[in-house]
Amino acid sequence: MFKQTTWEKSLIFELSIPGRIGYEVAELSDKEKSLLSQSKQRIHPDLMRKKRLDLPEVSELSVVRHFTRLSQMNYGVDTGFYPLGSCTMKYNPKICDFVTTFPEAQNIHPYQDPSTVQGSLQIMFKLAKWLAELSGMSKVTLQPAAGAHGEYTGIMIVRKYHESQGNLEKKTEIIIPDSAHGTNPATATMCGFKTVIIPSNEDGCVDLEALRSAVTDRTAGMMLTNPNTLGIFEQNIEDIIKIIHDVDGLAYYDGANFNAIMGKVRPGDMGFDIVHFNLHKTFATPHGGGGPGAGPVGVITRLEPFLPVPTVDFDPDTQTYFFQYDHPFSIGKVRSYFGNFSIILRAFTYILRLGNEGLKAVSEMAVLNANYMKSLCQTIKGFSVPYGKDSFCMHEFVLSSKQILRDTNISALDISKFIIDRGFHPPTVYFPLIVPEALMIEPTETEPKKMLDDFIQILKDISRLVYSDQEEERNQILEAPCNTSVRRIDDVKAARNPILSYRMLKQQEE
Amino acid sequence: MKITMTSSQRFIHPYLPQTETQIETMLESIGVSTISELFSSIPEKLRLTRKLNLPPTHSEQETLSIVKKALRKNKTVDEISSFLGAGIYQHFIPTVIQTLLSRSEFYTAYTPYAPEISQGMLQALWEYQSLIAEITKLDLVNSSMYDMATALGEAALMCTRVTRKEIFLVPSYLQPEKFQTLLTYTQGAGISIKTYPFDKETGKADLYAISELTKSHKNQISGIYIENPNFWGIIEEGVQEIGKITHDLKGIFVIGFDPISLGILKSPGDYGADIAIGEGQSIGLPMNFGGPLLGIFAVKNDRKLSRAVPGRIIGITTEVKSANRAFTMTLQTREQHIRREKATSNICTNNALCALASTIYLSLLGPIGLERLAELCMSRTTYLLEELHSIDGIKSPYFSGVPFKEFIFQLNSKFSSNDLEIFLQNNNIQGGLSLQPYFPELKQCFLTAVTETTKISDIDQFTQKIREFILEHGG
Ligand SMILES: Cc1ncc(COP(=O)(O)O)c(C=O)c1O
Repeated sequence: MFKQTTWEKSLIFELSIPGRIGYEVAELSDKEKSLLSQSKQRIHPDLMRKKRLDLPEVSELSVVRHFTRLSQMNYGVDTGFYPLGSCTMKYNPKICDFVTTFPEAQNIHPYQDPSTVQGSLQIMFKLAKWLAELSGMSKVTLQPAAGAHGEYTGIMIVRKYHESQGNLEKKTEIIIPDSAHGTNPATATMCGFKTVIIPSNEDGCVDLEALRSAVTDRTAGMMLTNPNTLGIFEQNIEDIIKIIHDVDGLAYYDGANFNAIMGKVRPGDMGFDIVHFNLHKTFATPHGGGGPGAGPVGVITRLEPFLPVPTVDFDPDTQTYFFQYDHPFSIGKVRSYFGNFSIILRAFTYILRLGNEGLKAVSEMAVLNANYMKSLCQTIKGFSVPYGKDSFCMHEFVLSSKQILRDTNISALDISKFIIDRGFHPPTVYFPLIVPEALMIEPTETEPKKMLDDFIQILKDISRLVYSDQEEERNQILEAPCNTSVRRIDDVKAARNPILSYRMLKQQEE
Repeated sequence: MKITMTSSQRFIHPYLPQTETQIETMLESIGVSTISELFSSIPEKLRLTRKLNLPPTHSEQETLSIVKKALRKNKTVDEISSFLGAGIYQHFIPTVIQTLLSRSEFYTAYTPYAPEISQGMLQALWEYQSLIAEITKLDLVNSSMYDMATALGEAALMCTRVTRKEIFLVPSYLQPEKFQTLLTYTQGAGISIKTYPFDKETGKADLYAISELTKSHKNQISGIYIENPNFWGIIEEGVQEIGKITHDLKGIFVIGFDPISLGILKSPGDYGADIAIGEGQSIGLPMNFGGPLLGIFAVKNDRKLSRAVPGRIIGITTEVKSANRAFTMTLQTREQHIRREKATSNICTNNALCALASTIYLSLLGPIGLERLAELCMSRTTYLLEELHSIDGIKSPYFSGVPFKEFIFQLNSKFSSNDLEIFLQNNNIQGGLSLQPYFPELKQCFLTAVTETTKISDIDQFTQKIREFILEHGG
């Protein structure tokens, strides 16, 4: 039975005892002291720190124990099933982490001479090539730091493209379906576009009529995921893209759902012009409790001149890899340096490990697992699949508990808390916005059938409990979670009286 | 490895656990006989029929040897005597950090959307915010951005969001990477970036030029950005005054800082910063060929500013039914998943694990460690500067301002700086970043960094080689 480890929540600051150190920095020699004072004398005393910082003073063991205890109050893929829809929380192979700890990966300065970083450049060059092949794009930049950052890069390319055509004044709108992830409209705004939201049809897909009436000369492009956020493949994808291309718009593919399609179908063949990948989803790089990730972006040949600089190229004459700055209409840079190398290296290792056949098998098994769960979950009393009930889903599906809410006043959030109590991470709740009481389930390919069955059993238990005529049983759901290190959290208090740092906490206590 | 079965050819791999019988059962439960039927919603003409041009499957052993072989072509800074900095620095990373970061409860978790089961990461990130708040003396810190360059971009956007004014003033002498990122980030919002120059003698901000610029764009300036220490490594002594100029204009004062320098320099909050951004790589992260890094973003706790902050923020609160401490993501109505096109930024995944590394780093060092580290960097930098100063043919320092952990030296025009670079490289030394390609007026100038990892003997060797070079080339 699941019972999360619970420790007293002492803050690192509260463990502090003056005079303790956790790591000793060498003392300055006499000569160093005199050099220091020589420099210090030349700085206005007003600029110098007068009083030491109020940082914690703790021993090495205290630090180790503190953060080890915190880790025990956290839940990762290594701990258990994490069917967080849209996030592709698959197993992160250990070999991929191991290779990033090599000094040849870590101890490299980005401004070293290219002749001394040929290994890193080779890895980047190859990964970019493989991603291009997987997506049907012609060239890939590895610069973006996350999915949303990839979106940003892609939509800036859209902007620059229209600018190069002398059309930027006119091309002011990006079309986004109402089922899209929040980063899509937020990205459009950051790039200076107006978002035009189009409603989904009753199948949860792009409504072609709504799209046609939304598209105008002002349409700069469209952002879409396929399979979409409901886990449904947009069958009219060619028509959709044609409508966009007919007004000289560009089609952007949000690659968050790439895990469904590897070796099966490619965004480039569907007609998309720009694609981003989430290496921290599809390519198994760990999510780090919130990041870092990486969001490479691929484009079709016509858009290569707009890519951020530099990309990595290979010179067959000298057999060397080099940074290519020749992208005449480049959007510039979207961050410093070349990309999140340690994430890139993990994805490179992952692709080698699975290979062509393996990646295809990944998508097949991801889709099999999702359909298996969907077929069983949607028959449980109180749960339904509002979109795509009778068709196959791709790698994920969105369950709704609206019937339960209606019948019992128990919400999807309550249900998610009970799932936690059984030792599972809950699904994504309340997304996509078009599904009421949404529970978005993405099992991924790495989970065994037994795990899927156990999860389905929990939903069955939930159904029994919510419809039980005994208040006690219903309360098990309403009072969940009780097996975690804290019980339900007062979010309202957190927002009404924000205490965002120890300094603020002390000010309040005073 | 392949085994042939009745219904399909199953690919066997340690990451794919379903057995053939299980697959059969699952297909039956779905009501299909093959996996490919599940893909029937993909229009036939779009389906891939050919094999993709990707590598074949490799065993773990084969994979490891391929990766090792590739990486062996790299030369690490452990094998070179490196004086490269210019934004990324080689500092020592205590072993504890790697050990704790490899707790997979942390690194295999997603963003803590389900707070009750993710208290560990939430508390760690709240402690990160607290430590950064302490070193910057600014109370509100987000739980990370991708790097300092994007943090600057976001800061510029935030200034316009708050003030509704459109000119953002920055030094002309920014790290080129950062400057280019800023230009990209500000395009969509129609922000105009204007630069102010440095004093040619001291290498510090030209205060006169700033005040002239502000006069000619009086009601249009959203904010002024300055770095301390600046890109030349020099401590900016006019920060207080620039802060005053900014506030007189009702603009937002943005400081770029090096976290280690705060061991001895005053904090941005002490001299009027409204926003402070920094690169957290130097506090606990490997250089990793330039990523992942850690964008630090701290803001004065003021209602108008706090509602305009980008990124995730963790708050401390209690359980609903008790006074027990609990942590949760808060002020989320600024963010993309709620505000969508009206969000303060599109950022979703950030660099949480990097923030955790810095949290552990600052906890280990404590106040005395950070102070001493800053002192070591500064004194060894002074040592190299003085040693180079004693060489005929080298102008060191190039600027008269006081440096913190890097500075510029110039090679006399009698010699070729290209030759010097090659000479040093042949002697296994990376002597610094040549600035002329980015700043043509800085002819034959090198930006050279020194940290606590630079040994006195490395410095002596470096200056010795420069002496040799000058002798050999007819000095
Ligand atoms: C559909 C979709 N698009 C975009 C994103 C944003 O990706 P990231 O969090 O890497 O910025 C996500 C992930 O949360 C997503 O699920």
